[in-house]
Amino acid sequence: MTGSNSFPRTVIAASAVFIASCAVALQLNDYYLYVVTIGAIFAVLAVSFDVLLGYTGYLSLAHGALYGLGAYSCAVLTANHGFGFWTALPIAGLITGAVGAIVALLSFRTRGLYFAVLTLGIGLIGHQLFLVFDEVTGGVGGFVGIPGPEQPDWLRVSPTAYSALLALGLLWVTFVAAAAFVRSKLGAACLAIREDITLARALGIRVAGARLAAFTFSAVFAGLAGALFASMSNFIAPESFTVLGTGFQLVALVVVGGMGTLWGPIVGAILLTALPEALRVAATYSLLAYGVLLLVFVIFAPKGIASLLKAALKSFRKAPRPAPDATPLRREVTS
Amino acid sequence: MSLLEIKGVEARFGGVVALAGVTLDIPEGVIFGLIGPNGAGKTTLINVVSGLVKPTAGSVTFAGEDGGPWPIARSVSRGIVRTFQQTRAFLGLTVRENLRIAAVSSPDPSCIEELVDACGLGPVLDRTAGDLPYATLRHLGIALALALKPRLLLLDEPAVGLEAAQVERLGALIRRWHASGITVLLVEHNVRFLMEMSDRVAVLDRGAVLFEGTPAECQERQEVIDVYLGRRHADAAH
Repeated sequence: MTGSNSFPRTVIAASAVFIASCAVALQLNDYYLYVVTIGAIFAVLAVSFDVLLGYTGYLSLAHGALYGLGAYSCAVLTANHGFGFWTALPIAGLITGAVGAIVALLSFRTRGLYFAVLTLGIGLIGHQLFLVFDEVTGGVGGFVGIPGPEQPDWLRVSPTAYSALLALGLLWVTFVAAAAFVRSKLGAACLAIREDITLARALGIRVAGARLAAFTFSAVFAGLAGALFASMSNFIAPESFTVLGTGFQLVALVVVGGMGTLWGPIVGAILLTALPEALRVAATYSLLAYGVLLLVFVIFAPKGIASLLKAALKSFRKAPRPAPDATPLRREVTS
Repeated sequence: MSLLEIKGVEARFGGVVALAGVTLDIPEGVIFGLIGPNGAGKTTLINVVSGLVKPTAGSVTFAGEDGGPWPIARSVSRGIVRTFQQTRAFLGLTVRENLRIAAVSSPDPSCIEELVDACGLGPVLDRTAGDLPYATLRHLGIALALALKPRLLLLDEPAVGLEAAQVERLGALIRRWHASGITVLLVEHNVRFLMEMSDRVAVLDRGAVLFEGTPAECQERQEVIDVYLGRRHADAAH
Protein backbone atom coordinates (compact mmCIF):
# COMPACT_ATOMS: atom_id res chain seq x y z
CA MET A 1 0.00 0.00 0.00
CA THR A 2 1.25 3.49 0.51
CA GLY A 3 3.67 2.23 3.10
CA SER A 4 6.00 4.61 4.82
CA ASN A 5 7.99 5.61 1.72
CA SER A 6 8.36 9.31 1.48
CA PHE A 7 6.81 11.09 -1.46
CA PRO A 8 10.11 12.68 -2.62
CA ARG A 9 11.68 9.22 -2.79
CA THR A 10 8.79 8.02 -4.95
CA VAL A 11 9.21 10.99 -7.29
CA ILE A 12 12.96 10.40 -7.59
CA ALA A 13 12.44 6.69 -8.34
CA ALA A 14 9.73 7.47 -10.91
CA SER A 15 11.96 10.10 -12.52
CA ALA A 16 14.89 7.67 -12.74
CA VAL A 17 12.69 5.02 -14.39
CA PHE A 18 11.26 7.67 -16.74
CA ILE A 19 14.72 8.87 -17.86
CA ALA A 20 15.94 5.28 -18.33
CA SER A 21 12.79 4.39 -20.30
CA CYS A 22 13.25 7.41 -22.58
CA ALA A 23 16.90 6.49 -23.15
CA VAL A 24 15.96 2.92 -24.07
CA ALA A 25 13.01 4.05 -26.22
CA LEU A 26 15.25 6.27 -28.34
CA GLN A 27 17.24 3.19 -29.38
CA LEU A 28 14.19 1.35 -30.71
CA ASN A 29 12.81 1.14 -34.23
CA ASP A 30 9.43 2.57 -35.20
CA TYR A 31 7.54 -0.66 -34.57
CA TYR A 32 8.78 -1.04 -31.00
CA LEU A 33 8.33 2.69 -30.42
CA TYR A 34 4.67 2.27 -31.35
CA VAL A 35 4.35 -0.61 -28.87
CA VAL A 36 6.01 1.53 -26.16
CA THR A 37 3.62 4.41 -26.91
CA ILE A 38 0.51 2.25 -26.74
CA GLY A 39 1.84 0.48 -23.63
CA ALA A 40 2.51 3.83 -21.91
CA ILE A 41 -0.93 5.20 -22.84
CA PHE A 42 -2.57 2.09 -21.41
CA ALA A 43 -0.34 2.41 -18.35
CA VAL A 44 -1.65 5.98 -17.87
CA LEU A 45 -5.19 4.60 -18.05
CA ALA A 46 -4.32 1.77 -15.67
CA VAL A 47 -2.71 4.03 -13.04
CA SER A 48 -5.62 6.47 -13.10
CA PHE A 49 -8.04 3.52 -12.95
CA ASP A 50 -6.14 2.09 -9.96
CA VAL A 51 -6.92 5.25 -7.96
CA LEU A 52 -10.60 4.40 -8.37
CA LEU A 53 -10.59 0.59 -8.30
CA GLY A 54 -7.52 -0.19 -6.22
CA TYR A 55 -7.65 2.63 -3.69
CA THR A 56 -11.35 3.48 -3.49
CA GLY A 57 -12.87 0.08 -4.30
CA TYR A 58 -15.20 1.09 -7.12
CA LEU A 59 -15.24 -0.88 -10.38
CA SER A 60 -16.12 1.52 -13.18
CA LEU A 61 -16.87 0.20 -16.64
CA ALA A 62 -17.39 3.73 -18.01
CA HIS A 63 -13.69 4.39 -18.42
CA GLY A 64 -13.56 3.17 -22.02
CA ALA A 65 -16.06 5.90 -22.89
CA LEU A 66 -14.21 8.52 -20.83
CA TYR A 67 -10.99 7.59 -22.62
CA GLY A 68 -12.90 8.02 -25.90
CA LEU A 69 -14.30 11.38 -24.79
CA GLY A 70 -10.76 12.65 -24.20
CA ALA A 71 -9.73 11.36 -27.63
CA TYR A 72 -12.68 12.93 -29.49
CA SER A 73 -12.34 16.20 -27.54
CA CYS A 74 -8.73 16.51 -28.63
CA ALA A 75 -9.57 15.47 -32.21
CA VAL A 76 -12.36 18.06 -32.54
CA LEU A 77 -10.33 20.83 -30.90
CA THR A 78 -7.22 20.30 -33.01
CA ALA A 79 -8.70 19.22 -36.36
CA ASN A 80 -11.89 21.32 -36.46
CA HIS A 81 -11.07 24.35 -34.34
CA GLY A 82 -7.37 24.88 -34.96
CA PHE A 83 -6.22 24.40 -31.38
CA GLY A 84 -2.63 23.29 -30.88
CA PHE A 85 -2.00 19.94 -29.20
CA TRP A 86 -0.64 21.54 -26.01
CA THR A 87 -3.80 23.63 -25.64
CA ALA A 88 -6.16 20.82 -26.61
CA LEU A 89 -4.56 18.29 -24.26
CA PRO A 90 -5.47 19.98 -20.93
CA ILE A 91 -8.88 21.06 -22.28
CA ALA A 92 -9.63 17.45 -23.22
CA GLY A 93 -8.59 16.39 -19.71
CA LEU A 94 -10.83 19.02 -18.13
CA ILE A 95 -13.82 18.13 -20.32
CA THR A 96 -13.42 14.46 -19.44
CA GLY A 97 -12.97 15.34 -15.77
CA ALA A 98 -16.17 17.41 -15.78
CA VAL A 99 -18.15 14.64 -17.49
CA GLY A 100 -16.53 12.12 -15.14
CA ALA A 101 -17.72 14.17 -12.16
CA ILE A 102 -21.29 14.10 -13.51
CA VAL A 103 -21.03 10.35 -14.12
CA ALA A 104 -19.72 9.97 -10.56
CA LEU A 105 -22.60 11.96 -9.08
CA LEU A 106 -25.05 9.68 -10.90
CA SER A 107 -23.21 6.44 -10.20
CA PHE A 108 -22.37 6.88 -6.53
CA ARG A 109 -26.03 6.48 -5.67
CA THR A 110 -25.16 2.79 -5.94
CA ARG A 111 -22.41 0.49 -4.68
CA GLY A 112 -20.70 -2.77 -5.56
CA LEU A 113 -22.15 -4.71 -8.47
CA TYR A 114 -24.86 -2.10 -9.03
CA PHE A 115 -22.20 0.57 -9.44
CA ALA A 116 -20.40 -1.61 -11.99
CA VAL A 117 -23.64 -2.27 -13.91
CA LEU A 118 -24.62 1.41 -13.85
CA THR A 119 -21.22 2.46 -15.21
CA LEU A 120 -21.47 -0.35 -17.77
CA GLY A 121 -24.64 1.34 -19.00
CA ILE A 122 -22.88 4.71 -19.14
CA GLY A 123 -19.98 3.12 -21.03
CA LEU A 124 -22.39 1.61 -23.56
CA ILE A 125 -24.23 4.92 -23.98
CA GLY A 126 -20.91 6.73 -24.49
CA HIS A 127 -19.86 4.29 -27.19
CA GLN A 128 -23.22 4.63 -28.94
CA LEU A 129 -22.95 8.43 -28.85
CA PHE A 130 -19.56 8.20 -30.61
CA LEU A 131 -21.34 6.19 -33.33
CA VAL A 132 -24.51 8.27 -33.55
CA PHE A 133 -23.05 11.79 -33.58
CA ASP A 134 -21.22 11.08 -36.80
CA GLU A 135 -21.14 14.74 -37.85
CA VAL A 136 -18.79 15.40 -34.96
CA THR A 137 -17.12 12.05 -34.44
CA GLY A 138 -17.12 10.63 -37.96
CA GLY A 139 -19.34 7.77 -36.75
CA VAL A 140 -18.41 4.21 -37.59
CA GLY A 141 -15.99 5.42 -40.27
CA GLY A 142 -13.92 7.17 -37.61
CA PHE A 143 -12.37 10.61 -37.24
CA VAL A 144 -9.56 11.13 -39.72
CA GLY A 145 -6.87 13.76 -40.08
CA ILE A 146 -6.12 14.51 -36.43
CA PRO A 147 -2.98 16.66 -36.28
CA GLY A 148 -0.05 15.10 -34.43
CA PRO A 149 1.57 16.81 -31.47
CA GLU A 150 3.76 19.77 -32.46
CA GLN A 151 7.38 18.90 -31.98
CA PRO A 152 9.81 21.55 -30.68
CA ASP A 153 12.63 22.40 -33.11
CA TRP A 154 15.36 21.57 -30.63
CA LEU A 155 14.19 18.00 -30.22
CA ARG A 156 15.58 16.13 -33.21
CA VAL A 157 13.77 12.79 -33.04
CA SER A 158 11.31 11.05 -35.34
CA PRO A 159 7.57 11.75 -34.87
CA THR A 160 7.15 8.15 -33.64
CA ALA A 161 9.90 8.62 -31.07
CA TYR A 162 8.36 11.94 -30.04
CA SER A 163 4.99 10.25 -29.44
CA ALA A 164 6.70 7.63 -27.31
CA LEU A 165 8.48 10.31 -25.26
CA LEU A 166 5.20 12.17 -24.79
CA ALA A 167 3.42 9.00 -23.68
CA LEU A 168 6.21 8.19 -21.21
CA GLY A 169 6.12 11.80 -19.98
CA LEU A 170 2.36 11.63 -19.45
CA LEU A 171 2.84 8.35 -17.60
CA TRP A 172 5.39 10.04 -15.30
CA VAL A 173 3.00 12.93 -14.62
CA THR A 174 0.10 10.54 -13.99
CA PHE A 175 2.11 8.36 -11.64
CA VAL A 176 3.43 11.29 -9.60
CA ALA A 177 -0.01 12.91 -9.44
CA ALA A 178 -1.60 9.61 -8.40
CA ALA A 179 1.10 9.03 -5.77
CA ALA A 180 0.43 12.53 -4.38
CA PHE A 181 -3.32 11.86 -4.41
CA VAL A 182 -3.17 8.56 -2.54
CA ARG A 183 -0.83 10.06 0.08
CA SER A 184 -3.10 13.05 0.64
CA LYS A 185 -6.00 13.24 3.08
CA LEU A 186 -8.30 12.46 0.16
CA GLY A 187 -6.29 9.32 -0.54
CA ALA A 188 -6.59 8.23 3.10
CA ALA A 189 -10.33 8.87 2.90
CA CYS A 190 -10.54 6.75 -0.27
CA LEU A 191 -8.76 3.87 1.48
CA ALA A 192 -11.22 4.16 4.35
CA ILE A 193 -14.15 4.01 1.92
CA ARG A 194 -12.70 0.94 0.22
CA GLU A 195 -12.16 -0.87 3.50
CA ASP A 196 -15.32 -0.04 5.47
CA ILE A 197 -17.63 2.74 4.36
CA THR A 198 -19.69 2.70 7.59
CA LEU A 199 -16.61 3.08 9.77
CA ALA A 200 -15.31 5.75 7.40
CA ARG A 201 -18.51 7.72 7.95
CA ALA A 202 -18.33 7.15 11.70
CA LEU A 203 -14.84 8.67 11.65
CA GLY A 204 -16.16 11.80 9.99
CA ILE A 205 -14.82 11.01 6.51
CA ARG A 206 -16.69 13.00 3.85
CA VAL A 207 -17.42 9.93 1.76
CA ALA A 208 -19.21 11.71 -1.10
CA GLY A 209 -16.43 14.27 -1.59
CA ALA A 210 -13.61 11.73 -1.43
CA ARG A 211 -15.05 9.30 -3.95
CA LEU A 212 -16.11 12.14 -6.26
CA ALA A 213 -12.51 13.37 -6.16
CA ALA A 214 -11.20 9.87 -6.93
CA PHE A 215 -13.54 9.40 -9.90
CA THR A 216 -12.83 12.88 -11.27
CA PHE A 217 -9.07 12.41 -10.89
CA SER A 218 -9.33 9.09 -12.69
CA ALA A 219 -11.47 10.63 -15.47
CA VAL A 220 -9.09 13.56 -16.06
CA PHE A 221 -6.16 11.24 -16.69
CA ALA A 222 -8.27 8.87 -18.80
CA GLY A 223 -9.13 11.93 -20.90
CA LEU A 224 -5.47 12.95 -21.19
CA ALA A 225 -4.57 9.40 -22.26
CA GLY A 226 -7.33 9.51 -24.89
CA ALA A 227 -6.18 12.91 -26.15
CA LEU A 228 -2.62 11.69 -26.62
CA PHE A 229 -3.86 8.50 -28.27
CA ALA A 230 -5.93 10.53 -30.77
CA SER A 231 -3.11 12.90 -31.53
CA MET A 232 -0.45 10.25 -32.08
CA SER A 233 -2.77 7.97 -34.07
CA ASN A 234 -4.11 10.67 -36.45
CA PHE A 235 -7.26 8.52 -36.66
CA ILE A 236 -9.75 7.29 -34.06
CA ALA A 237 -12.91 5.19 -34.28
CA PRO A 238 -15.55 4.14 -31.72
CA GLU A 239 -14.25 0.56 -31.73
CA SER A 240 -11.22 1.75 -29.72
CA PHE A 241 -13.48 2.85 -26.85
CA THR A 242 -15.86 -0.02 -26.23
CA VAL A 243 -16.81 -1.39 -22.83
CA LEU A 244 -15.94 -4.93 -23.86
CA GLY A 245 -12.62 -3.83 -25.33
CA THR A 246 -11.05 -0.97 -23.43
CA GLY A 247 -13.36 -1.06 -20.39
CA PHE A 248 -12.68 -4.68 -19.44
CA GLN A 249 -9.08 -4.57 -20.61
CA LEU A 250 -8.45 -1.85 -18.04
CA VAL A 251 -9.80 -4.10 -15.31
CA ALA A 252 -7.47 -6.87 -16.51
CA LEU A 253 -4.43 -4.55 -16.53
CA VAL A 254 -5.03 -3.43 -12.97
CA VAL A 255 -5.91 -6.87 -11.58
CA VAL A 256 -2.96 -8.61 -13.27
CA GLY A 257 -0.60 -5.81 -12.28
CA GLY A 258 -1.75 -5.55 -8.68
CA MET A 259 -4.52 -3.31 -7.39
CA GLY A 260 -3.76 -0.53 -4.98
CA THR A 261 -0.06 -0.24 -5.79
CA LEU A 262 0.02 2.29 -8.69
CA TRP A 263 3.18 0.72 -10.13
CA GLY A 264 1.66 -2.78 -10.46
CA PRO A 265 -0.86 -1.64 -13.11
CA ILE A 266 2.03 -0.14 -15.11
CA VAL A 267 3.69 -3.56 -15.15
CA GLY A 268 0.33 -5.12 -16.06
CA ALA A 269 -0.12 -2.64 -18.93
CA ILE A 270 3.37 -3.33 -20.29
CA LEU A 271 2.90 -7.09 -20.06
CA LEU A 272 -0.58 -7.19 -21.57
CA THR A 273 0.40 -4.78 -24.38
CA ALA A 274 3.63 -6.58 -25.19
CA LEU A 275 2.22 -10.10 -25.03
CA PRO A 276 -0.06 -9.92 -28.10
CA GLU A 277 2.76 -8.23 -30.02
CA ALA A 278 5.25 -10.91 -28.99
CA LEU A 279 2.80 -13.60 -30.07
CA ARG A 280 2.01 -11.92 -33.37
CA VAL A 281 3.90 -14.72 -35.17
CA ALA A 282 1.34 -17.14 -33.80
CA ALA A 283 -1.70 -14.91 -34.02
CA THR A 284 -4.11 -17.80 -33.54
CA TYR A 285 -2.71 -18.47 -30.11
CA SER A 286 -2.31 -14.83 -29.09
CA LEU A 287 -5.75 -14.38 -27.55
CA LEU A 288 -5.61 -17.88 -26.08
CA ALA A 289 -2.34 -17.04 -24.32
CA TYR A 290 -3.83 -13.75 -23.14
CA GLY A 291 -6.81 -15.55 -21.62
CA VAL A 292 -4.65 -18.23 -20.01
CA LEU A 293 -2.42 -15.54 -18.50
CA LEU A 294 -5.45 -13.84 -16.94
CA LEU A 295 -6.65 -17.16 -15.50
CA VAL A 296 -3.22 -17.99 -14.09
CA PHE A 297 -2.94 -14.64 -12.36
CA VAL A 298 -6.43 -14.61 -10.93
CA ILE A 299 -6.04 -18.17 -9.60
CA PHE A 300 -2.41 -18.24 -8.47
CA ALA A 301 -1.56 -14.57 -7.87
CA PRO A 302 -4.81 -12.77 -7.12
CA LYS A 303 -2.89 -9.77 -5.78
CA GLY A 304 -1.13 -9.43 -9.11
CA ILE A 305 2.41 -9.13 -10.34
CA ALA A 306 3.15 -6.47 -7.71
CA SER A 307 2.69 -8.96 -4.88
CA LEU A 308 4.91 -11.54 -6.66
CA LEU A 309 7.65 -8.97 -7.19
CA LYS A 310 7.40 -7.78 -3.60
CA ALA A 311 7.70 -11.36 -2.32
CA ALA A 312 10.67 -12.03 -4.61
CA LEU A 313 12.39 -8.83 -3.51
CA LYS A 314 11.85 -9.73 0.13
CA SER A 315 13.39 -13.17 -0.29
CA PHE A 316 16.45 -11.72 -2.07
CA ARG A 317 17.15 -9.22 0.67
CA LYS A 318 19.86 -10.57 2.92
CA ALA A 319 20.19 -7.75 5.42
CA PRO A 320 17.23 -7.25 7.77
CA ARG A 321 15.17 -4.18 7.04
CA PRO A 322 15.25 -1.34 9.52
CA ALA A 323 12.27 -1.37 11.85
CA PRO A 324 9.34 0.39 10.16
CA ASP A 325 8.61 1.96 13.54
CA ALA A 326 11.62 4.18 12.94
CA THR A 327 9.38 6.54 10.96
CA PRO A 328 7.97 8.98 13.49
CA LEU A 329 4.23 8.54 13.59
CA ARG A 330 3.61 12.20 14.32
CA ARG A 331 5.26 13.23 11.06
CA GLU A 332 3.17 10.75 9.06
CA VAL A 333 -0.23 11.47 10.50
CA THR A 334 0.17 15.20 10.52
CA SER A 335 1.62 15.51 7.03
CA MET B 1 -25.67 21.25 32.49
CA SER B 2 -26.83 18.68 29.92
CA LEU B 3 -24.48 17.94 27.07
CA LEU B 4 -26.92 15.63 25.31
CA GLU B 5 -30.71 15.84 25.53
CA ILE B 6 -32.65 13.02 23.91
CA LYS B 7 -36.33 13.92 23.64
CA GLY B 8 -39.03 11.41 22.79
CA VAL B 9 -36.92 9.48 20.30
CA GLU B 10 -38.74 6.72 18.46
CA ALA B 11 -37.27 4.28 15.96
CA ARG B 12 -39.35 1.76 14.06
CA PHE B 13 -38.14 -0.83 11.57
CA GLY B 14 -41.24 -1.99 9.75
CA GLY B 15 -43.51 -3.28 12.49
CA VAL B 16 -40.73 -3.53 15.08
CA VAL B 17 -40.52 -0.71 17.61
CA ALA B 18 -36.86 -0.45 18.64
CA LEU B 19 -37.22 2.82 20.57
CA ALA B 20 -40.56 3.93 21.95
CA GLY B 21 -40.14 7.55 22.99
CA VAL B 22 -36.82 7.61 24.82
CA THR B 23 -36.07 10.76 26.80
CA LEU B 24 -32.71 11.10 28.54
CA ASP B 25 -30.47 13.92 29.72
CA ILE B 26 -26.75 13.23 29.80
CA PRO B 27 -24.85 15.82 31.85
CA GLU B 28 -21.49 17.09 30.61
CA GLY B 29 -18.44 15.42 32.10
CA VAL B 30 -20.04 12.16 33.31
CA ILE B 31 -19.72 8.55 32.37
CA PHE B 32 -23.32 7.59 31.68
CA GLY B 33 -24.04 3.88 31.68
CA LEU B 34 -26.82 2.33 29.63
CA ILE B 35 -27.93 -1.22 30.29
CA GLY B 36 -30.82 -3.43 29.34
CA PRO B 37 -31.63 -6.88 28.02
CA ASN B 38 -30.87 -7.87 24.43
CA GLY B 39 -33.21 -6.07 22.07
CA ALA B 40 -33.90 -3.26 24.55
CA GLY B 41 -32.78 -0.66 22.00
CA LYS B 42 -29.37 0.34 23.40
CA THR B 43 -27.45 0.05 20.14
CA THR B 44 -30.33 1.62 18.23
CA LEU B 45 -30.15 4.61 20.57
CA ILE B 46 -26.41 4.94 19.86
CA ASN B 47 -27.14 4.61 16.14
CA VAL B 48 -29.71 7.41 16.39
CA VAL B 49 -27.56 9.77 18.46
CA SER B 50 -24.53 9.22 16.20
CA GLY B 51 -26.61 9.80 13.06
CA LEU B 52 -26.36 6.31 11.61
CA VAL B 53 -30.10 5.68 11.95
CA LYS B 54 -32.78 8.32 11.41
CA PRO B 55 -35.43 8.25 14.13
CA THR B 56 -39.09 8.13 13.18
CA ALA B 57 -39.86 10.75 15.86
CA GLY B 58 -38.11 12.81 18.51
CA SER B 59 -35.11 15.07 18.59
CA VAL B 60 -31.63 15.46 20.00
CA THR B 61 -30.03 18.58 21.43
CA PHE B 62 -26.27 18.61 21.77
CA ALA B 63 -24.34 21.26 23.69
CA GLY B 64 -27.37 23.52 23.55
CA GLU B 65 -27.75 23.16 19.78
CA ASP B 66 -31.17 21.95 18.64
CA GLY B 67 -31.91 20.18 15.37
CA GLY B 68 -30.32 16.79 16.00
CA PRO B 69 -29.78 14.03 15.36
CA TRP B 70 -27.57 15.07 12.50
CA PRO B 71 -26.12 12.88 9.72
CA ILE B 72 -23.09 11.03 10.98
CA ALA B 73 -20.43 13.28 9.42
CA ARG B 74 -22.06 16.37 10.98
CA SER B 75 -22.38 14.60 14.32
CA VAL B 76 -18.65 13.87 14.24
CA SER B 77 -17.85 17.48 13.42
CA ARG B 78 -19.89 18.50 16.50
CA GLY B 79 -17.88 16.10 18.64
CA ILE B 80 -20.21 13.07 18.83
CA VAL B 81 -18.09 10.00 18.08
CA ARG B 82 -18.95 6.34 18.44
CA THR B 83 -17.43 2.88 18.49
CA PHE B 84 -19.16 -0.29 17.31
CA GLN B 85 -20.42 -3.37 19.11
CA GLN B 86 -18.64 -5.62 16.62
CA THR B 87 -15.17 -4.12 16.75
CA ARG B 88 -14.59 -2.11 13.65
CA ALA B 89 -11.26 -1.08 12.29
CA PHE B 90 -9.93 -1.09 8.74
CA LEU B 91 -8.94 -4.74 8.92
CA GLY B 92 -7.05 -4.91 5.62
CA LEU B 93 -4.79 -1.99 6.55
CA THR B 94 -1.96 -1.66 9.03
CA VAL B 95 -2.48 0.02 12.40
CA ARG B 96 -0.41 2.95 11.11
CA GLU B 97 -2.73 3.33 8.08
CA ASN B 98 -5.78 3.09 10.35
CA LEU B 99 -4.46 5.95 12.44
CA ARG B 100 -3.56 7.95 9.33
CA ILE B 101 -7.22 7.70 8.30
CA ALA B 102 -8.39 8.81 11.75
CA ALA B 103 -6.02 11.78 11.43
CA VAL B 104 -7.96 12.97 8.36
CA SER B 105 -10.87 14.15 10.51
CA SER B 106 -8.98 14.78 13.72
CA PRO B 107 -8.94 18.39 14.86
CA ASP B 108 -5.59 17.67 16.54
CA PRO B 109 -3.65 14.85 14.81
CA SER B 110 -0.75 15.29 17.22
CA CYS B 111 -2.84 13.56 19.91
CA ILE B 112 -2.48 10.29 18.02
CA GLU B 113 1.03 9.70 19.28
CA GLU B 114 -0.26 9.87 22.85
CA LEU B 115 -3.08 7.50 21.91
CA VAL B 116 -0.63 5.00 20.48
CA ASP B 117 1.16 4.87 23.82
CA ALA B 118 -2.01 4.82 25.91
CA CYS B 119 -3.62 2.06 23.83
CA GLY B 120 -0.43 -0.02 23.62
CA LEU B 121 -0.33 0.15 19.83
CA GLY B 122 3.35 1.10 19.45
CA PRO B 123 4.67 -2.45 18.91
CA VAL B 124 1.98 -3.28 16.34
CA LEU B 125 1.98 -0.13 14.18
CA ASP B 126 2.99 -2.01 11.04
CA ARG B 127 0.82 -5.07 11.61
CA THR B 128 -2.36 -5.54 9.65
CA ALA B 129 -5.34 -4.73 11.86
CA GLY B 130 -7.05 -8.00 10.88
CA ASP B 131 -4.12 -9.96 12.39
CA LEU B 132 -4.22 -8.24 15.78
CA PRO B 133 -5.25 -10.04 18.98
CA TYR B 134 -8.85 -9.30 19.89
CA ALA B 135 -8.09 -7.02 22.84
CA THR B 136 -5.59 -4.96 20.83
CA LEU B 137 -8.13 -4.63 18.05
CA ARG B 138 -10.65 -3.34 20.60
CA HIS B 139 -8.12 -0.76 21.74
CA LEU B 140 -7.46 0.23 18.13
CA GLY B 141 -11.21 0.77 17.62
CA ILE B 142 -11.31 3.05 20.65
CA ALA B 143 -8.10 4.84 19.59
CA LEU B 144 -9.69 5.62 16.20
CA ALA B 145 -12.64 7.22 17.98
CA LEU B 146 -10.50 9.10 20.52
CA ALA B 147 -8.31 10.47 17.73
CA LEU B 148 -11.28 12.62 16.73
CA LYS B 149 -11.13 14.42 20.10
CA PRO B 150 -14.82 13.82 20.88
CA ARG B 151 -16.87 15.80 23.38
CA LEU B 152 -19.22 12.83 23.66
CA LEU B 153 -17.89 9.32 23.18
CA LEU B 154 -20.47 6.59 22.54
CA LEU B 155 -18.99 3.21 23.50
CA ASP B 156 -21.05 0.23 22.35
CA GLU B 157 -20.13 -2.78 24.48
CA PRO B 158 -16.38 -2.13 24.55
CA ALA B 159 -15.67 -4.89 27.09
CA VAL B 160 -17.44 -7.72 25.29
CA GLY B 161 -15.16 -10.71 24.81
CA LEU B 162 -12.37 -9.32 26.98
CA GLU B 163 -10.77 -11.13 29.93
CA ALA B 164 -10.82 -9.58 33.41
CA ALA B 165 -7.33 -8.04 33.18
CA GLN B 166 -8.12 -6.63 29.76
CA VAL B 167 -11.39 -5.15 31.04
CA GLU B 168 -9.45 -3.47 33.84
CA ARG B 169 -7.02 -1.99 31.35
CA LEU B 170 -9.90 -0.80 29.20
CA GLY B 171 -11.49 0.85 32.23
CA ALA B 172 -8.24 2.68 32.97
CA LEU B 173 -8.09 3.86 29.37
CA ILE B 174 -11.66 5.16 29.44
CA ARG B 175 -11.10 6.91 32.79
CA ARG B 176 -7.92 8.53 31.51
CA TRP B 177 -9.71 10.11 28.56
CA HIS B 178 -12.80 10.90 30.59
CA ALA B 179 -10.55 12.83 32.98
CA SER B 180 -9.43 14.98 30.06
CA GLY B 181 -13.01 16.24 29.70
CA ILE B 182 -14.77 13.70 27.48
CA THR B 183 -18.35 12.74 28.35
CA VAL B 184 -18.95 9.02 27.84
CA LEU B 185 -22.15 7.12 27.05
CA LEU B 186 -21.29 3.53 27.86
CA VAL B 187 -23.46 0.63 26.69
CA GLU B 188 -22.32 -2.58 28.31
CA HIS B 189 -23.55 -6.03 29.31
CA ASN B 190 -20.76 -6.42 31.86
CA VAL B 191 -22.84 -5.01 34.72
CA ARG B 192 -20.03 -4.95 37.27
CA PHE B 193 -17.76 -3.04 34.89
CA LEU B 194 -20.54 -0.61 33.98
CA MET B 195 -21.53 0.06 37.58
CA GLU B 196 -17.92 0.67 38.58
CA MET B 197 -17.32 3.03 35.68
CA SER B 198 -20.56 5.03 35.60
CA ASP B 199 -21.60 8.18 37.43
CA ARG B 200 -25.20 7.71 36.32
CA VAL B 201 -27.06 4.77 34.84
CA ALA B 202 -30.18 4.30 32.75
CA VAL B 203 -31.96 1.03 32.08
CA LEU B 204 -33.72 0.47 28.78
CA ASP B 205 -36.38 -2.16 28.37
CA ARG B 206 -38.35 -2.78 25.18
CA GLY B 207 -37.33 0.59 23.79
CA ALA B 208 -38.28 2.67 26.81
CA VAL B 209 -36.41 4.05 29.81
CA LEU B 210 -37.23 1.89 32.80
CA PHE B 211 -34.98 3.65 35.29
CA GLU B 212 -32.45 6.44 35.56
CA GLY B 213 -30.28 7.24 38.57
CA THR B 214 -27.01 6.44 40.28
CA PRO B 215 -25.48 2.96 40.04
CA ALA B 216 -26.25 2.33 43.73
CA GLU B 217 -29.93 3.26 43.26
CA CYS B 218 -30.11 1.15 40.12
CA GLN B 219 -28.98 -2.00 41.89
CA GLU B 220 -31.63 -1.50 44.57
CA ARG B 221 -34.61 -1.03 42.25
CA GLN B 222 -36.82 -4.08 42.12
CA GLU B 223 -38.09 -3.52 38.57
CA VAL B 224 -34.49 -3.34 37.28
CA ILE B 225 -33.63 -6.53 39.15
CA ASP B 226 -36.73 -8.21 37.71
CA VAL B 227 -36.12 -7.12 34.13
CA TYR B 228 -32.36 -7.23 33.86
CA LEU B 229 -30.13 -7.60 36.89
CA GLY B 230 -31.93 -10.67 38.22
CA ARG B 231 -31.54 -12.38 34.87
CA ARG B 232 -27.85 -11.43 34.67
CA HIS B 233 -27.25 -12.66 38.21
CA ALA B 234 -29.05 -15.90 37.46
CA ASP B 235 -26.98 -16.32 34.27
CA ALA B 236 -23.82 -15.70 36.29
CA ALA B 237 -24.86 -18.27 38.87
CA HIS B 238 -25.21 -20.90 36.14
